[in-house]
Amino acid sequence: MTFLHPIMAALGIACIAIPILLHLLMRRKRRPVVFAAMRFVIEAYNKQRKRLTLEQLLLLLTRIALVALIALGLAGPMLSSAKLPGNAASQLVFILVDDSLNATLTTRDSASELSGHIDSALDVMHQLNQSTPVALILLSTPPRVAVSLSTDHAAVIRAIEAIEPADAQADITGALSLVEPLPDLSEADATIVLLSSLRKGSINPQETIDDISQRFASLTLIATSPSRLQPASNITITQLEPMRRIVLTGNNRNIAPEPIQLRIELSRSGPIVRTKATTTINASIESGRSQSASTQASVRWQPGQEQAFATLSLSDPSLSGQPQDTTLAVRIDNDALLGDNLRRAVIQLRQQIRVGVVSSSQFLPDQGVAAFAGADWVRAALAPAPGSPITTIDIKPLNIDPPTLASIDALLIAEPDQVPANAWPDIATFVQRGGSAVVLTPANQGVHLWHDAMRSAFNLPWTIAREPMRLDQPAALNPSPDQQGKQLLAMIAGEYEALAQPVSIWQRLSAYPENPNDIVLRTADGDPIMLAVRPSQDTSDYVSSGLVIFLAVALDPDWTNLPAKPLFVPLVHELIRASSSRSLVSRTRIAGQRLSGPLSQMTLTKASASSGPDRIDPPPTQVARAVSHAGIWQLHDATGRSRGIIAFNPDPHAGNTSISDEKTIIDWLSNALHNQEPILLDEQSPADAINTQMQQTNTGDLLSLPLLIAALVLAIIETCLARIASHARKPIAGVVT
Amino acid sequence: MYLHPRTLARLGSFELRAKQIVEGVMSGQHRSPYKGFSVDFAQHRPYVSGDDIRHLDWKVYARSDKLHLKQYQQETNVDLIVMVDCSGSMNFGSRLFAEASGSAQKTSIDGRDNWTKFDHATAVAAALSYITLSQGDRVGMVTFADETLSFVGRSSSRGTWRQIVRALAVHPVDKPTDLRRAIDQTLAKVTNRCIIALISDMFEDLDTLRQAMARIRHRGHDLVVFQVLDQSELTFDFADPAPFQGLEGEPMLRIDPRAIKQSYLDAINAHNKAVQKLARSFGFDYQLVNTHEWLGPTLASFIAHRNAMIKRSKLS
Repeated sequence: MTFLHPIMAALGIACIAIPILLHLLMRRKRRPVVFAAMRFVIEAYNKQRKRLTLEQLLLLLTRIALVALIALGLAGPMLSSAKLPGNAASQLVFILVDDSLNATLTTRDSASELSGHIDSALDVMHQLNQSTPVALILLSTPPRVAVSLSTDHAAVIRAIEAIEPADAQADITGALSLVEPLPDLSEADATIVLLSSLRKGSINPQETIDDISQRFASLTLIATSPSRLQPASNITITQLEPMRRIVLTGNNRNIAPEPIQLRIELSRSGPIVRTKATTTINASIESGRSQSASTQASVRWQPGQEQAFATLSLSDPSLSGQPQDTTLAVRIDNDALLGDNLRRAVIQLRQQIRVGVVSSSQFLPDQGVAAFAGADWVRAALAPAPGSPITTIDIKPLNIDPPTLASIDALLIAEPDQVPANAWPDIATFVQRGGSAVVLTPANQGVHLWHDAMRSAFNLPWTIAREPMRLDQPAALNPSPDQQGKQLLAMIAGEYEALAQPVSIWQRLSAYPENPNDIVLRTADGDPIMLAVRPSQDTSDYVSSGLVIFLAVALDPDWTNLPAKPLFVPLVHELIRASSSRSLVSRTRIAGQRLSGPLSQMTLTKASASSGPDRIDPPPTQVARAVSHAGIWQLHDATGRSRGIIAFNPDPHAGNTSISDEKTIIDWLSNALHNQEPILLDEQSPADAINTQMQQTNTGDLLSLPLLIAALVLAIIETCLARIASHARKPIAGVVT
Repeated sequence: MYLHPRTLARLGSFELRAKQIVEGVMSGQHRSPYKGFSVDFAQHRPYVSGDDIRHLDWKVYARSDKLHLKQYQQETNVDLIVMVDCSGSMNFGSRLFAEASGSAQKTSIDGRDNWTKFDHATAVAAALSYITLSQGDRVGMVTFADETLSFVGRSSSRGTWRQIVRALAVHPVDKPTDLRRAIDQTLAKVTNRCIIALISDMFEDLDTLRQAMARIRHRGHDLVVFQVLDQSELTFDFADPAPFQGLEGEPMLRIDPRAIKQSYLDAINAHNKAVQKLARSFGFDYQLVNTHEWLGPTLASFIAHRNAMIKRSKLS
């Protein structure tokens, strides 16, 4: 056993002599009492002598024990020397600072809440014992250990002073998982000082926190209560989605490029939810570091409304002929949280999309409509006029090879029955690398054996009949596409029902996918007539697998009147463009999200003015990395070649400034403490309160409290014994006067 | 001055005849309780009509030709022997002298400021002596400790009072009591039957007391026991632990008086009751005298009680 205050312990042991000395002093020479009836005094004394001696002995022992317990209690005995404050293993302190976007909240005071967290962390550091190991962990996603457990307090203080706000959300769960003792100090006590406002944007109560209490002899978590926070209103741009990721500018400079349509989602939090409000949205196209076009819109909020949507259209004639990645930026009015008032998206500008039409037949302009084959209908639909942004290239089935496929963006196989079996793997590779393939059903086949090679090459989980099914009654199209179809045909969703109404189907191949989500279109009877699937789910952050679309109806008058109906042209266009856009991986990321795949191996250089580093090199090992700061970054591969740009946006979840419920926080954080409640401080000065609490924690596991409680009990016993031994006010019977 | 005026005034309303039925040769006012034992005094009186002729003294009639009755109940005087305990234990008292003496005198002649049991005993002795002398009866006095220390012979003369007062003006000796020896020495000097007033704290063994009382009874004397005790001896109201020291050579004892108070009181009360019972068993009277109480009421009450007892015995 060791003592927190050894000198006090020595003094306490010495104090045991006090009752003995007092006992001896009480036996000092007093003035004798002369008494006549001594014979009766002696007789009474002889009767009581044993009991009196026992009483006195018990009283003396009780007093000695009482003094010893008080002295030992004040000396702070501990069972293990590892818990001594002077010992580095005694107390580990983990300072967790919320540097997330939510911590940049500015209320009535000019300083942000992050400034307060930094001040509190510095105050804690200045009052810690120099031998106490301290670690600094930053909460923004991904949480990271800024300074490992160390007694180098100067380094920790420098790291605290260098904290910069990130645009990511706080990940308290991940940060707590980083709280680990030093390998040789598993028996140490630990105190976690969680410096966060714990607003709803910084916590995630649905996420389960692992129990980390078993890593330490004892674990205390100290945080500031959200009850003292000032309410703050904030509006967040939670989503910015361009309707097309690929914008075609065309070859003809005299024709304006198509407008860029944006879908914007907003949310608001804090007291402002209860009021009416208007938010101005400003959307613009950023070409490099300049803005070329902009537009504005307003969103009117009703009381109680937390979410709003807006659709904007941007037109910029100067975009013609610029084949490059372009940034779209959306801004809203400034509020308490500035970081989430700007959001960006990256679109790709292209002059045209090259579509290879696989057909053995040659299109002849003087041929009548009655002689049109499927390929002819498609060609006519995709390139209705010169200068169209979609151009078609005829590819003979026997000419399908990798170089040919590399020169096109999409492949439309009008006569799949003519495609050699050895060409299907090349087509599969083409799709695997991001190309799209639209496969039509050939009209002149009685038995369809060709799709065996297709299903095998793409590993399609579909069941396709070998013979077509002729319908007794012509089937109409279902007035609404399936889920897959809604995504592919989003641009014509409003008109689809009217366009689909005149379409009739007399013959079809029965095709049923294992996954109903693969269905794009079906008849009114529910039979699928168009399927789509991404053959490989091995998507990377840079290029994703393309789509395979299968039309189970031949473009032939014996099968359907679709080619002759108004739906056909927009349907073919949207299938080609949407599938190409879907094949192009999104160039928008959320700050703090880990990068993986080829993207993680690229060098990022900053292309916009923002906080954080200007260059991020790929890590030496295959570990995932993340960009914590919003902005535009240029991608460079290992050879230094530019691979376009990528936008990192603030995490919209971090924009919720509503004050969390205290009970929710306690319940959530207690998971990490084996259901022991964390300490939430209400004081105005969190640093002082935290230091006070740490002092209590430092001595919390000592034996002082039990000893002092025992001393209190012994004091009560001593009082009773002393009263008994004093025989004061004892009722006396038999007094004769 | 040993008698407080209030004591004397209170006692003046009583007559010792209420106690004794003794027809003494000197005063003739008392009826002797020793009927059949006293043969020294006889009396004749003229015959009146109706007297029992069996009691006529025919010898007187022969000499004087007058009829006189021979009186069988002979009247005698009362001899009172006061025995005052002068042992060491009597030299204890917790009452202030100024309060007990009834005068402006704050200390005794020898400088003490406390009123001891011996002071109270001498007051009792003086009161009894004064009353007896004022009735013309004879009084003798003995002071004793482990033996008789002084003896005043019985007499009814006025000079006896002065002798008694002078004999009482002594200090207790630092010796224990030996009552049996003192009684033996006293009885050796007394030939006729008398009343012995024993004034003592009675701190003696009960066997010794029994033997002494038996000797007195055997010699036909009457005994009145006045047990003089201090208030503190009866209540033992000491608070602080202290060494206690006796007055008759007992060892010093360091005690917490509150711790043994109950046992002490049990012991002394048992002793006092035993003394009282012992005296009553011999037909003697017993009176506990508290030094913190006025003597007059105590004596008056005692004498009244004794008169009542005598009347009851006469009626029976």
